[in-house]
Amino acid sequence: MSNGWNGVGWRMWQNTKKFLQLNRYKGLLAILPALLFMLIFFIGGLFHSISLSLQSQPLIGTTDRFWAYNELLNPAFYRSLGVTVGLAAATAILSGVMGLLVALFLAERRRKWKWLQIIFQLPIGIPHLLSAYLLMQVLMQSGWLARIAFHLGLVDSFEAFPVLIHDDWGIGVILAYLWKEVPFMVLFIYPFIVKLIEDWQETAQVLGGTFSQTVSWVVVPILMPMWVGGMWIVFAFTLGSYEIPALLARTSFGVIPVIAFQEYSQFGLERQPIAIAMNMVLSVISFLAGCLLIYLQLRWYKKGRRVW
Amino acid sequence: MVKSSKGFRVLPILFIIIMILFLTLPFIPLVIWSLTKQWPWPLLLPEKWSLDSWNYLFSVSGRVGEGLLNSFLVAAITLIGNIIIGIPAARALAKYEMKGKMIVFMILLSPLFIPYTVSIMGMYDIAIRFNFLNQYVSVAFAHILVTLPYFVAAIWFQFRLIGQSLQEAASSLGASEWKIFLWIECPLLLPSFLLGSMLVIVISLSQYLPTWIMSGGTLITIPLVIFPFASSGNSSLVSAYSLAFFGPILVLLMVYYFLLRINSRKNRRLGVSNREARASNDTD
Repeated sequence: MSNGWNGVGWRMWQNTKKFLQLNRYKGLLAILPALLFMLIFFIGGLFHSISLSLQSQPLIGTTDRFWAYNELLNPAFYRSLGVTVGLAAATAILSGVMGLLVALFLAERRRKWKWLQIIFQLPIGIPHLLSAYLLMQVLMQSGWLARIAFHLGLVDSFEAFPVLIHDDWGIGVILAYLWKEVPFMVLFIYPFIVKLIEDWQETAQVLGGTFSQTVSWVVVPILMPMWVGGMWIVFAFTLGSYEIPALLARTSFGVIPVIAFQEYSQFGLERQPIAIAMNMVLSVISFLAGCLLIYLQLRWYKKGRRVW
Repeated sequence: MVKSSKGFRVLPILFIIIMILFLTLPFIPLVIWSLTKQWPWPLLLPEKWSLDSWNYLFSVSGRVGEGLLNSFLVAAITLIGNIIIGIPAARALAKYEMKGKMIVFMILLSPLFIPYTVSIMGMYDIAIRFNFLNQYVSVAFAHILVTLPYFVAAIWFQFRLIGQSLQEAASSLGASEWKIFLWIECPLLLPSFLLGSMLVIVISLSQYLPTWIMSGGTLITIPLVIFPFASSGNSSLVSAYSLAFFGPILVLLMVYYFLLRINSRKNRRLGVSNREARASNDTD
């Protein structure tokens, strides 16, 4: 500070509340790069996509700004939407429940059966594309399970084996997702369960509680936000994921990421706004589902976190 | 409560056994298929074995070398990006309190909760307008978007487990922020850093849609090599490709467990207090 007035001003500034706050929050600057990255690329990319999808297209003779969204207003798309959301919801709930059960089992026996954890971490390293392919090899009518069933005398020809791939109910798709997502849920909640059990087990034992009582009155209520959050992650992922439905679902399902990618990559540049619009719908649905979950969670807190 | 019946004991074990079979059985036909060209129904094992698929794989037209190289280049850039922007953010989020922290955290984790395909389509359009980014870098940017939430969450969780007591002791002895980070936090952070890096690499290696969109379908990574074969149904080839893909991942996993073991053994020898030891064991 070369001149006197500035020095005084500087010292006065140092005494203000703002400066003290700024100084205390200096460490927070470290968040900025990551936050800016997400704001620019995730949210900025989102808005850029929206603006792309709202451009009028004189090439295909429409001046309506919302033409891409208007094209989606038909029963076929509603049906696809229903199927996509249904598959995602079924996957999320099933993998949530199964993942919780597996994690509890592993946590109860964490000292004896450590090698079990490795088996449940195996699928994490395998891409969805290959998990779809693996499950296809096993579940096909001429697949490995059908062969075993034949040798056990359960079926006498491969037509007798139930259709599990490209089937009417999406069973193959859901199984392939579960193969990936149950281990993910285990990885996600297992550390928390172990920590909770270690923190609370003594108290529970002093009070005379069994393991299952500890689980239902302590672990699950505290774990609930994590668990629901995990299921939301699985839901959002399944909603937007392409590889598994592309390989295992019936084409008549019209799973939205699959038809959107076809629009995007095969039908020319002027159809790309439709692909963006379709994916937009999925993003909005996942966002709304998240808001609903947060609302339910807050109501549940008010009611006193009762599970059963 | 009446729960002495045996069903309660047997049921969980049965469930776990079914889950284990469900997870591990699919690997068997994969290995068999990669070693044969014909495997007619209903044989449990094929009659003729052949190495043709593996030969094709490592021939020039198999493109497996190119695919692996591209995949790993992108994964490496992704990991570096994650480390540069992810660790400071996770550290600040774990250490400081402020208004709106939850909102910042939600924004960082948002790609987990909202499908990101739309954003990547937007990013691609921006990238081709600015046409100066290297293809690897722009694909890696899309991968950072996908992987950053996992990385930040893993590191954040470990910072919370470590707590503040050691850092406060060090700073009262006159250590600077950097010294604290380098000599106290880094070693304690190692297990979750390994887990986070592992997740980042594995997720980056397995991306299909983001890679395709961000490179306009021109950057040939392993999933892009495999997909056409998988949808056309050449079982033998796809199986060989899949195994060629698992190889590096298995090596990575082994390195991960090896490093983790070294780390926990070192901790035991140094007699790190119970709390820190538990913190580093929780993530393995």
